[in-house]
Amino acid sequence: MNSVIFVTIGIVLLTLLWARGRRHGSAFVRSRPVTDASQYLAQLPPSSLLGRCFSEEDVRFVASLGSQAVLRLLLQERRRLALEWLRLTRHEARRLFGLHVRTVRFVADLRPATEFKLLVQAGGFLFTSEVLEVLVRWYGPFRAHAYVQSIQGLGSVLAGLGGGIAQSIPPAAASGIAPAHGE
Amino acid sequence: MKGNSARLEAAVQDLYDRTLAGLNGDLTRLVYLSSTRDYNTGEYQHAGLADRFGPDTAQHALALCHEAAFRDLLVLNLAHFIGQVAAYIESTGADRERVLDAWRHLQAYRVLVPRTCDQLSADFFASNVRIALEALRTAQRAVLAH
Repeated sequence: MNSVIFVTIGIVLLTLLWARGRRHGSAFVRSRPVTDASQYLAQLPPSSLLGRCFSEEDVRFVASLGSQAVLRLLLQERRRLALEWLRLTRHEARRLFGLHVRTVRFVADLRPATEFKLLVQAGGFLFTSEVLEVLVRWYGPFRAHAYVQSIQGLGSVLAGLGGGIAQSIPPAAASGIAPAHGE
Repeated sequence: MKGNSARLEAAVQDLYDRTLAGLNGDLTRLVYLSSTRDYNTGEYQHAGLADRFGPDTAQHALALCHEAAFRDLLVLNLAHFIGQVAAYIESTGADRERVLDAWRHLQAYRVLVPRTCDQLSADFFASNVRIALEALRTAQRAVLAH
């Protein structure tokens, strides 16, 4: 029963991802092969920054200063930066996924198993990023150790999935290109 | 190629030994290094280093040290970061309240970011400076109130 629900959720998410991708790119662009090698350069934001955004050590230190205004500023700023990290990661992963879809249209030896794996990764990425965004938006009022640990854990999962999508670029297309900026 | 790399390493060491080692704290070093950069062209100017190692090597060495100082600050926890800001303000010899006020309003810290830095790291740095300035202002007020 559970597996049926998970598969249904997965299909719905993939359909949404596909529909979003269609809205963003024009038919003209999608029908052309990718020729600019610099487009293959993955620029995911550094994952270590997300960890720094939720540093419990920083919160403890600022709380010890005894100023509510400074503590409020810290929490607001770190939440804003974490949401920006999420936005940039999502944008880059979406761009890379779209680039991959455009690239494989012109690949002769398409491997369905690899493509399916990427599709699952993309679905997982989309789902994780939505959950993470909700958790980050509640950061401030909720900042217990377990809560922060969950955010950091999901952040690592998301960064890993983003890295997986970045690595899905066909090696032939990406050869001779500088490594990804993100850690 | 190897000669170039050795030359660059020597230039970095020279810059550190003659100048950077004498500066108190990473933030002071960062302010110094970014002040050697021309705001219009983004190129670093250091006559002594250029004379000894040539303009290209001097340029590269300054850029490397600038990036390293910035990276070192970015990984500091907030307590240490605030300590760096306080040490820098102390080193200017100016009135603390005035420096805090000027940094808050003019946001001069934005020019301290190296060219190669990504936008989010630059934003994180600026955010930490803002929090540090508020923390130091609060502490200053508490001192004055007593």
